[in-house]
Amino acid sequence: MKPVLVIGGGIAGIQASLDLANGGIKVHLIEKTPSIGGVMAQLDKTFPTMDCSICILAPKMIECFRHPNIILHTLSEVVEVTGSAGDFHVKIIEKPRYVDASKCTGCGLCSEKCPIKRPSEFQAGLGTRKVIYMPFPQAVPLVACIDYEYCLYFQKGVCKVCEKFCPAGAIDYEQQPMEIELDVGSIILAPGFERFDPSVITEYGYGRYPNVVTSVEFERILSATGPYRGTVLRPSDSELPKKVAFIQCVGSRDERVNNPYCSSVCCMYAIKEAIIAQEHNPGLEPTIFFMDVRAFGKEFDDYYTRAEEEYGVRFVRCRVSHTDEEPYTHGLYVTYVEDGSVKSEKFDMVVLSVGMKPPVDAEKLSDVLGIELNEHGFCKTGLFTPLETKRPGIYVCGAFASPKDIPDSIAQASGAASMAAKAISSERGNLITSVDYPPERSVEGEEPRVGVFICHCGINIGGVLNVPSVVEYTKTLPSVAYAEENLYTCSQDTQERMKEKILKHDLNRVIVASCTPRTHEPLFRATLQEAGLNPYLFEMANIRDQCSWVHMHEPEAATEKAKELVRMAVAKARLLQPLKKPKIDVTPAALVIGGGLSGMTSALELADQGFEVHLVEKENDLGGNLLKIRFTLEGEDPQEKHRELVDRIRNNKMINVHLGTQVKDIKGYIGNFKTTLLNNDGQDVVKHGVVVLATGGVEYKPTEYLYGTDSNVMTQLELEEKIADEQFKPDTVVMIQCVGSRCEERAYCSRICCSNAMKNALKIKESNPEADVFILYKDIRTYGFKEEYYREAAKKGVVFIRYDDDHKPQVITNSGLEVSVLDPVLNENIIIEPDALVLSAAVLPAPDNQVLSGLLKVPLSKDGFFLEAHMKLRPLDFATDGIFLCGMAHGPKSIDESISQACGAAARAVTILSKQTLEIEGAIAHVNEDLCSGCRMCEIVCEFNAIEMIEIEGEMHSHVIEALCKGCGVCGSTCLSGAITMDHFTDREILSQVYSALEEVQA
Amino acid sequence: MSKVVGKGTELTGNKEIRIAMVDIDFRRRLLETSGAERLMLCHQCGTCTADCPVAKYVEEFRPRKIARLAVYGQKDRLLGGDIIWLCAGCYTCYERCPEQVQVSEIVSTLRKIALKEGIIHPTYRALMKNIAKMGYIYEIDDFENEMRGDEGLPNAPEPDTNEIEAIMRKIGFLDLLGGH
Repeated sequence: MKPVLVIGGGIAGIQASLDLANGGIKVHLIEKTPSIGGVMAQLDKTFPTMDCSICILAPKMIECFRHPNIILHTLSEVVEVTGSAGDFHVKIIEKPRYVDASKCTGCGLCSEKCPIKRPSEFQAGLGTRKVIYMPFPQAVPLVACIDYEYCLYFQKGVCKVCEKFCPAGAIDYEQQPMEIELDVGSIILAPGFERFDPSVITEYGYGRYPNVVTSVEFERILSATGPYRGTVLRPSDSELPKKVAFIQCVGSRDERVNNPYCSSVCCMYAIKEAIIAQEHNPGLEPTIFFMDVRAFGKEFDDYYTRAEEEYGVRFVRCRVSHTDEEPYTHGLYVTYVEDGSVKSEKFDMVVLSVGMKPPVDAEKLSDVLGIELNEHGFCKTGLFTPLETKRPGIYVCGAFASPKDIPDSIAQASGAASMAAKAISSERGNLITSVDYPPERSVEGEEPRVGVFICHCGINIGGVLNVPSVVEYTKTLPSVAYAEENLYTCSQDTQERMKEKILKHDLNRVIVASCTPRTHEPLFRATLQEAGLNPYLFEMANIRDQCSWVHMHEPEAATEKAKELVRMAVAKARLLQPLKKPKIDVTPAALVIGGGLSGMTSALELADQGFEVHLVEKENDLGGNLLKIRFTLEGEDPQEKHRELVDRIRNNKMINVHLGTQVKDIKGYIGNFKTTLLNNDGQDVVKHGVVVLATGGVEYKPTEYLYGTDSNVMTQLELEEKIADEQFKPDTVVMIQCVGSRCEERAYCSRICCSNAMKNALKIKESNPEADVFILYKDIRTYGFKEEYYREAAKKGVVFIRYDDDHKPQVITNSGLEVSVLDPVLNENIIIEPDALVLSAAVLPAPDNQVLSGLLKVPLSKDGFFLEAHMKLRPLDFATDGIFLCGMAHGPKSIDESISQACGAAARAVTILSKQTLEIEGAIAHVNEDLCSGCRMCEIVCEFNAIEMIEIEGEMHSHVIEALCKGCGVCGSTCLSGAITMDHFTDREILSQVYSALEEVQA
Repeated sequence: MSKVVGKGTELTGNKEIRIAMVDIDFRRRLLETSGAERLMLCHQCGTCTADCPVAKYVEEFRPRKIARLAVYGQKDRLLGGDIIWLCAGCYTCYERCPEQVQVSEIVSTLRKIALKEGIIHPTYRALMKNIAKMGYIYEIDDFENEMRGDEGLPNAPEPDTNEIEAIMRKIGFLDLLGGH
């Protein structure tokens, strides 16, 4: 009966906790600061979706807090771990808040009255907080805490103002540190990272020049809740800056400060910050100074190109040597080289793109937990064990394993959840508490009593609209029994407040006027359920995305529009009916499509957790691309790994391997799929509850550079095979990067080619140190710790020559191959006569993706890889429930990344497979059979295969498969007989909104 | 600000470098010399050049180009002409380089190789001759000693020029300077 301990409450820790908890496992989540949320809570927006970071994070934070299977320990640290995998004994010290969490309502009055200010950690030091404080408005838990070291009462014995003013009597100066002892089965480490302190690189002037800021400070400057409320201002004089320089690799790729690795995320966040800065301050001119632009992730290069071409962000390839401050004006002269000339250019502001360091307490954690750190102080893992620490039973995810971005951290977090669950999967469900909502109150026959909660969203809405006037107007509308405004309606205290108001005012319909139902509807619906109301008695008015954001320069008109939007919502809300959520059974088996590294890993993870798996591979052997990989940079043997995986699969009774098999047809829906498999012996039908797509990728067959016409021109995979056969000892080798990638036909970066080139170049050098190896590249993208292999290749004498699209290498053949490339610094052609020309060919999506996309009705990205539900927060899910993806099916990636995703997809699948029944969406289409003529139009237009034809009394009628219906309404609007009703969007409800919208026009 | 132009072989100007013709031994010699071992790690970020005080005034003097030509083994272009002799040895590049390539040390190494090949810049030759003759790079006369006296310093010591000459002869330096 052991729960899992998760250390660290950032996005990785939150995701791991939620996956475990939703898979039926009890979790203790430990966070050392007063609130969960981590660094993601501090970010302004996230690319490429440009979602408000806290807005997409807050619902997950609240879900963690509300989840019956998650116990949250903030201000807590682990001090002792004894025992072993499956049976750990853990001691935790929980520091006192000096505020009783059960009494505090998060009203903030204590902070308002507290006389002492301290620099705010959340504002990266650019703002202040009080000594009694909540770290940020959406903090979870939303409970104040006292900063002991600076509290007047604790230090000098005077003050006690907070106690005097707290209306809830929640202040408790007597609280003592608590020692908590837990027995846990597994431990997941997600302590994140520490930012590099740029003051040690003195030539950039951070700490001396006020207008030199770090990228984290700049995130706060960009944020609506930041020190300047979202307008970019110079810290020295609060003036609008015109020219802003971003300096890359500050504390990354720098041997001097002992951070030789690449921090992986800075290129993309700098591009994002440059674009947002321009949006916030029209006319702002950003320049990014870089060494290589490492836009290696999914569709990152598109974003980079857009920044340059559409937004006019200027990119300069040079490491800035130093900045000088102009006295009095605090302008900054940035010194660099461009086109061979030394330049000193004046900027108004400089942003240092600071790198990632291991968390400050990494060594302490390592001591307490008995895990190993690598040479850079991050957690030591292996190529084939990316989620495992060196102590069995303790797993790792997120930036502590290596610098990484949000989607990669999330994939790893889900993966770590799977690993942690395996050890205790026999206990699944034993410890969980199910959500017990109070019995639902019938509203039948009641007159509508509508409550309206109008959100300021910090300044996102409140900064544009006159919210109090919208509230006053709302109070005049028919059936509105109550209306109020909130700073953040989504915050935890407001949820409590909403419940109170529902009960106090006897509300039977609720409206929130705020951001968007896309992110927040589930949260508010749950609040209604907690207050005993059917969740479908809720309506949202979108006054942020569709009002304050798009009309930010017309505040008065926008306020009028908001009133109209609320009026329309009220008109509809009056008619809302309670709906029931149907329940469906779940077949506890998975179909994994693709028997490569990802598919095999995912299948084993699922099987090890006790679920049956059908593993489908179209070839006659398991292995996919893994079979072609003969050696690795890290020195581990891929073929040995392949044999081990195949053995484990063969010996696992839960896995049915279908070789030489293709998926012919997939019918059904989440929990209940029925798939027809086709092989040489005929057909096979399997039933399963989920699908994992692991279709992999293939190497591009180049048409460039004489490939196919000259036998000495080959791809990296072909070279690898030759090297492995030990028949190949070339003296001079040229490698050309980005062949078929980052070009017009294929805009994306294939992510693995730079590291592959390093691997093969090092292998050539190993067998023949005298060999000349030249790598021709556009940007070297050896992100993370792979940078060390770039360095090693250079040390061994590999020569790197950069080219650009205007000066692609020229290859001719006379008596032998001749490669000519322009050295951009010398501006001279370099002519090489190699024995072998190796092309780093692109990674292409698997050819089967197209067919599977059609069968499963899941989308492909413009590049032909599968497109996940959300590029930031749901990297392994599809918008269609019950279908998941991992590995190269998602996009090009390395072995360790594929394994992380494969484990992650398994964890996501388990959140469904672990349940016997599922509750599904209640707002779906219904057919009135008496009116249906059986014309089948609805069947044709349905995108989700949710309509089938059934025979009733000898006539064909359409019928909605409830579990598949997404409630999109297209059938209803197509039906010529008016036989289809869309629940929650009935004609009456929609028309009432239309009439309401036209009200004033009529008047 | 007036620009100084370095004379002799320029760093730019050739249209192509043919790797088959490259003097690989030259690069090997460089890499084996203390201070120049990290040459191959230069990834041409340019930061050395941006802060080089000589580069500011001498258009042809570009530390990163020196490193690049060294990678390509361009011995003649590096050793002929003024370029390697222009470095002021301020070590700013050494401090800035994120890969600790130590460009200033590479320049020193190039000078050492040049000397071994009998190449010495006329200015340096003149200075060295002075040392051989007087023990100083310039003549110390009464005026200098008077100034030293004003600062409370004793007269400059009289160097043993015979000994200096003997050392220079022994290490072969005198021959390099073209006799005496």
